[in-house]
Amino acid sequence: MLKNLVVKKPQTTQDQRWLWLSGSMLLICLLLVAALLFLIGVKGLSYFWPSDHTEGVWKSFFQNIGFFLTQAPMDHNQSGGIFPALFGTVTMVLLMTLFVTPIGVLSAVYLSEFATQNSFTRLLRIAIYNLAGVPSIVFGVFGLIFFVYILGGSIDQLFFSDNLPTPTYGTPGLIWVSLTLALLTLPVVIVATEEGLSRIPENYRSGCLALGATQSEMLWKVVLPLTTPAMLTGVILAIARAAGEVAPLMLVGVVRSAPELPIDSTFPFLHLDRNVMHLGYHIFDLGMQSPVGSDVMPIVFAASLVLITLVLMLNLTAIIIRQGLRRRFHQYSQQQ
Amino acid sequence: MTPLKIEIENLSLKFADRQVLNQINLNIPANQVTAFIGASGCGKSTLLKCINRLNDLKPQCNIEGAIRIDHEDIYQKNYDVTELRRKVGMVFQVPNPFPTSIYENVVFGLKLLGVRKRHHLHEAAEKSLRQAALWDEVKDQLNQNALQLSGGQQQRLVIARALAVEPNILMLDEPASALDPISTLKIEELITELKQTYTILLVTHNMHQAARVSDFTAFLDQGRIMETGHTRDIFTNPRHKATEDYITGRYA
Repeated sequence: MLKNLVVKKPQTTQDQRWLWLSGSMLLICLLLVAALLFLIGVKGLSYFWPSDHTEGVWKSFFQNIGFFLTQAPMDHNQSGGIFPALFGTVTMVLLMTLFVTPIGVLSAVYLSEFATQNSFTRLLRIAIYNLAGVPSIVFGVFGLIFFVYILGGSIDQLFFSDNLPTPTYGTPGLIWVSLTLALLTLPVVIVATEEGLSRIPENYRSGCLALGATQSEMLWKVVLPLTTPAMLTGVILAIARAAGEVAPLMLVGVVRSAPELPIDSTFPFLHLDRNVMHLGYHIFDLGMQSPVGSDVMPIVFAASLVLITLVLMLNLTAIIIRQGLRRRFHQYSQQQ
Repeated sequence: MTPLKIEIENLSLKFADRQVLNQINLNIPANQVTAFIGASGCGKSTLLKCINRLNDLKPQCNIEGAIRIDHEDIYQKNYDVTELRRKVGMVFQVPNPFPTSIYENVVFGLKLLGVRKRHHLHEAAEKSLRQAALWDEVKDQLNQNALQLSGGQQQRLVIARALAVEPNILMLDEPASALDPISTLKIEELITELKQTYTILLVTHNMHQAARVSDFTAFLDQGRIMETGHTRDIFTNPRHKATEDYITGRYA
């Protein structure tokens, strides 16, 4: 691996200096990332390592991991497992994907396929790009006011007025968490899809139209299928960002401890109005707010390890799907 | 004299402020090969794309004049453009099969038309692949990805795809310029074969090709038709100095 990093020998002393400077900066980055992975990995795994070194160490090691992943927290989150937080994170991210994909993809389709390209669409595009730079807590505040109070409040008045003043949807909950996350990640999906659309060769479009396809037939049968790898790239980035967000979610429905899971066996099975737990918040809560301090630090590391593993797994799944699609469009992706 | 298939009358086209076609008048006879020659950027491809109205979607494109196919004005209001494009097949310079199977490529246009019966699709696929002289090479691998074919095969596949919707005009925009000599020869044989059934319009940069396969030739220069006539007349006895310079390679 190191061999790949070695460059051609620089020919002047000036080049030599830049080589050393840039190389050492890269080394610092690598060391920091390695330290992070090492610390979280070792500290996280050591939480599961059994304290008494009797026989069957490995068995109890894996049992501990299983326990941690599948059991509910106990004793104010300071012991037990993290299952509700893990489950909540996955649920809200998947739900967010359901919201953000159609909205983002269709917006991109409108922007690059139907809209006339003029100064207004350029302005619109810049606005969307800048949306990605808005601090996430601002989205949280927006979500609280718009989704929870205005939208949720209206839903309660229209459909659940019997229960008032106890709010049903006019209170933080899973649906608002997912919608806030969707809003937060919308620019990522739009930008990625637009780039994908612009990379489809003009040749395919005219070929399709020349056969008597309408513009929408061309879109659905040729252009959009070819854009799926790019869309998935957008969704991957969205998922990675969403799974790591904490601050804005605390405002719209993520809680320290939720009595029930958002999915269970009672009708309507998926409870959009329930509060949910979230891995990121769980970590924050334990790391910052526990009275016992250092005693819970091992759990913080273990939960962090689970969080990065989860993000990695979600990403890997999407990447594998994308590779599969790319292979189908073999020559096309080479043209990219 | 053969009957006229396409009549182009005072056709002018502007992209924004750029005059691309200027007062084009041209009659194209049925069941003959008409070649369009001229330097790059002289408007040959744009002229073809006027005939199936593929320029319509381009921004700031302004077209004046008239084109009549079988005496019907194709730029009249409420004219069905998709129907027109089925009647006028087009093959492009770079082979552009869609990244699906060979079979799906050939029946693409038919499926757009709503043809669903499998035996009907199979028959049409075989017929057009035979017409495009590709059937023998691909009959055992119809489900293979079309992008795995060679460039020449891809171009013949695209021709088969255009033929499957049973057009009566076939426009070929430099169909052999990206191909090797053997594939080029096959395409040229194919063109001669197909003119029995179709009116063929051929844009080419290859003078020998124009001389070999076409019956009529139109020479375009900077958006204008400089000279038209029987191919043998144009190549043996051009009336304009510009035409002579171009076909003999002295064009500057």
